[in-house]
Amino acid sequence: MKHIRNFSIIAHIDHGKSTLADRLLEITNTIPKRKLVDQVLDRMELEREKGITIKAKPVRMIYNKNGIDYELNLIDTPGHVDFSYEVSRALSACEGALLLVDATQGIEAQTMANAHLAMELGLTIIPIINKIDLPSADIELVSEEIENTFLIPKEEIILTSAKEGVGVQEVLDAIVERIPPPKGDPNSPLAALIFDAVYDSYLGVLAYLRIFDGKVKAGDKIKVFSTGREFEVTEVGIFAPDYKKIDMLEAGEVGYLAASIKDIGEFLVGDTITLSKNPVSKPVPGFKKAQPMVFCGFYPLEGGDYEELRDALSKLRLEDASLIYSQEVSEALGFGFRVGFLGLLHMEITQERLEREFGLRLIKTMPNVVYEIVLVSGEVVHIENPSELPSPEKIEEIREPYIKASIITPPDFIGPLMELANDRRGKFINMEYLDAVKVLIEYELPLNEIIIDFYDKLKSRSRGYASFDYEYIGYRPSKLVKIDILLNGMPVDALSFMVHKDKAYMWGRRIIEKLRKVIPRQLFDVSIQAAIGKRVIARETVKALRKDVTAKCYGGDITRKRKLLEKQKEGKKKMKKIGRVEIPQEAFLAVLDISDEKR
Amino acid sequence: MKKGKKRLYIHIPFCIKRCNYCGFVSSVLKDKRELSNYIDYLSLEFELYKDRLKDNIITIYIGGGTPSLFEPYEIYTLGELLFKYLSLPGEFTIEANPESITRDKVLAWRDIGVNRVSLGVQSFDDEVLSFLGRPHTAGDAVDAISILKDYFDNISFDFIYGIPNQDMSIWHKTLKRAIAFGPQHLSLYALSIENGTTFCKWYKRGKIHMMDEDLVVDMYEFGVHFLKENGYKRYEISNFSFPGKESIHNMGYWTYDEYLGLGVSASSFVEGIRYINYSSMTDYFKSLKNGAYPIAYSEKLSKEKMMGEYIILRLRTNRGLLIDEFIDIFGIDPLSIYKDKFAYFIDLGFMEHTEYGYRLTDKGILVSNQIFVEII
Ligand SMILES: Nc1nc2c(ncn2[C@@H]2O[C@H](COP(=O)(O)OP(=O)(O)OP(=O)(O)O)[C@@H](O)[C@H]2O)c(=O)[nH]1
Ligand code: SF4
Repeated sequence: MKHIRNFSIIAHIDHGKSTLADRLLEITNTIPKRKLVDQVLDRMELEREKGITIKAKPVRMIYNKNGIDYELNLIDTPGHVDFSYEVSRALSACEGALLLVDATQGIEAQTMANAHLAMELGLTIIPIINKIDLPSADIELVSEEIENTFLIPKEEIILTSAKEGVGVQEVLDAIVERIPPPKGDPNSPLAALIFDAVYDSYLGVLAYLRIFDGKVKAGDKIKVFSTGREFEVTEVGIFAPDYKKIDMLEAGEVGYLAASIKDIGEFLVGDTITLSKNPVSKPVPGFKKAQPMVFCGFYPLEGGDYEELRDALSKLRLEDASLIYSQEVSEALGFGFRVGFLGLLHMEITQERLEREFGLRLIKTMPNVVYEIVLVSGEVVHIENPSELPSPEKIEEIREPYIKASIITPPDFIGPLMELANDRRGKFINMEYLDAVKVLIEYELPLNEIIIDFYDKLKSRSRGYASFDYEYIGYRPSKLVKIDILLNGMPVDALSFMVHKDKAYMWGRRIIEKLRKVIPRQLFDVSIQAAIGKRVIARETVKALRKDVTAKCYGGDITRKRKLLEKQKEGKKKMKKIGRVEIPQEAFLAVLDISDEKR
Repeated sequence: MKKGKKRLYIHIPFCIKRCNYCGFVSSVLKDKRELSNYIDYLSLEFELYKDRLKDNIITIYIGGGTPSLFEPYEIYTLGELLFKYLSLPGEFTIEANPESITRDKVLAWRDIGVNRVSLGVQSFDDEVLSFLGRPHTAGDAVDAISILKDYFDNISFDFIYGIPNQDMSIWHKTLKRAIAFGPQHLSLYALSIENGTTFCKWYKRGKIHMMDEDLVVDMYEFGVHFLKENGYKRYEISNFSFPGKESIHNMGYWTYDEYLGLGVSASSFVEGIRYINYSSMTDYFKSLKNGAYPIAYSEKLSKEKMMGEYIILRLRTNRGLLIDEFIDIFGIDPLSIYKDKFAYFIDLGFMEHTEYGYRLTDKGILVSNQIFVEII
């Protein structure tokens, strides 16, 4: 155990995490250079497009230093704030972390958040400044930033060019020298942390484990701590880097475990595995069930695709325990699903996978957060869909989820970014200069205010320079109202949304104006109303079409005319009919455009 | 739908110049000889259809283009051609443009049996005419009308409304002048901007704008009202006449009768098949030279399509859809298919019951395409 080092890499997107990891694998001869390319290409197409690694497999390397073989386990962390809980669990499995900072960019919000998390978990941090080969590298400035932000002495910083292989040896040496070996007792009862779980078509669900105490081997009866469910281990192994079956996993080690499990929900990230016979009394701390934060409705564009959508969701769910969904019936859209996500990226990826991998055409309704409702009766309920909001006289209080946002930006953009945060009901908490060119601004914000286009706005207002991270800080009472949209007096459930009281009029007006533009004129006036309860707060009318007539219709015109009408009919089929009113797809996302704070 | 009895349409695809809004198949006449050459080809096409023509033609309509470009001797040639293949029908219309009408031509028309003239007046306002790119003035129209009136007692005028820069008072004046001549029939067409026209080009460049929809509707409603006050009845969306002076030929299109079209781009509807001739003169000539039918497109209509077409055509007319006639043709009660839809449109005030079936209301006519979309 003395010769094991478990570590991860904390880095902002594009700062060079994958490149550095590739170099480490190369030097330790874990993967020959030629195969490395394949591995990179092996990533999901989607991940490559979005320029992020959602999840990479852990890998074990053997590094010989002074005649001793050290076993280095690199555990990857997902690169997006949606998955911050998984990051925290991956970090819990390690004793150390490489803090990788791009010499031309400096520290970004997410790096900072994750590094602080690692420090809180007691991990040894090895600071690295990468891309020193670039002419625009400012080593001095970035060193200062690291020193000021994390109170890490400059002298500890390793300078690398992952691309050119400079400093990589030093990194390996530092891993061995600075990161402490795992502690733990192979003879104590088994305590293994599940830091990730994946579905494998041969082995079933695999738990990626860090063994803290005890040992586990094939044939053992294990127990999952949170559920008490028991399984028989069919295989244990290590990441070498492909799955490699071994006899036994022991305290301090990192590996995988299979137990012929079909449902990924049996092995939840953060949970503890122990042995049935001699269980540990306390689990590895920090487990919580990943709670979906953002919900939206997915409906098949063609009603007939409902079954396919259901199958597709259940297939995705095999790989993704944090994806939850339940059947939902909308009066407007028919049968579909309400789907819960860890965050916006998670939602976007899921939607794209459904569309690309399963060829489905979907209508996505406006995303919303989960609200906590205290009823007059004292009962507390959570609603995942604004249309489920109980009637106002039953409600004592509405609470909405809040986050603490950390924004790192060059000082030039402080003004516009603070304006943005204030506009989104943000409460200013703190501002701190990390150095002359970087400022950290902290705000508390309702999650609801950032799920729509906050990130895009942040980027556009800072010309791409600001970075952003958030953590969930719990529910807070809020003066929220539900706005219903009525078409010719009929409420359209799929268009209801929640908004702060003070913004209700503005949003109500904007959404109906938007709807007025997207709803085509019909044979009758279409009244569009925004209402809170029975009170109409804004109204618009799409005036009835007065003229749609062909003046001439003789001989050959008849064929032409019929074909035009057939085409018109096809167009109509793509619309959803609500009562007598036909509305186009884009109406359901009307709200997405209107948060635009054009004044 | 009268099986066997057919209407004959002959297309003359030549004009003096191209009007700015024109989407018809027609080309500028460069050489006068093109006209007799064209008649030669028409005679080849007649020969191909000779069996279909014999004793079966109940109306003739020579349209264009500008059929009034024919000189008297060409008119007589055309007349001989007609007599060779068919007997004189009850209604025989020729389309004419004011700039090319002379007393000799008009006499020749009468000689070969023409008994109805449809004159493309379009407007009595010279500015509007020049904006439309018409090759004549209001004065030319007045002269032409006075000649026509000497020989015919069944004359129709065509007018266009909804033209950019044409306001209500211009429209009003035009209609007032029109009825002063006492035509038996008028057609009022809303301007539409067709692909490939000069207007289309201007429109894309932002040089002209569509007329305000409300104003176009107002112009139409004014026209309907004004003509009604003066004794003209609307019998189809765009057509008005004194009682008994409806165009028998055109009415046939809306009552789903069979028709035979000869000439470039002409279309036929025979035994449930719609045919459309080549619209390129070269292709048309080429196939006739080879003894082949000059047909570019044909479509055998399914019963569903025919039922849909029948209804949308019938609903263009004042009499509307006749239930018994529908049953006669298709052997099925239209209500068994369209009852709910009709009820919906009646409810919205777009349709109404008649003694024999259903028709569109004034409000319904204006949005008829929306209604037809639901029916086809
Ligand atoms: N010049 C230079 N470029 C580097 C260096 N390290 C990485 N890069 C480049 O930076 C870009 C991003 O590197 P990656 O290793 O993919 O970054 P990452 O942090 O893993 O990014 P994700 O996988 O998307 O999270 C690539 O184009 C690399 O070639 C370096 O030391 N010098
Ligand atoms: S006269 Fe008629 S066919 Fe000829 S160009 Fe003008 S509109 Fe077209």
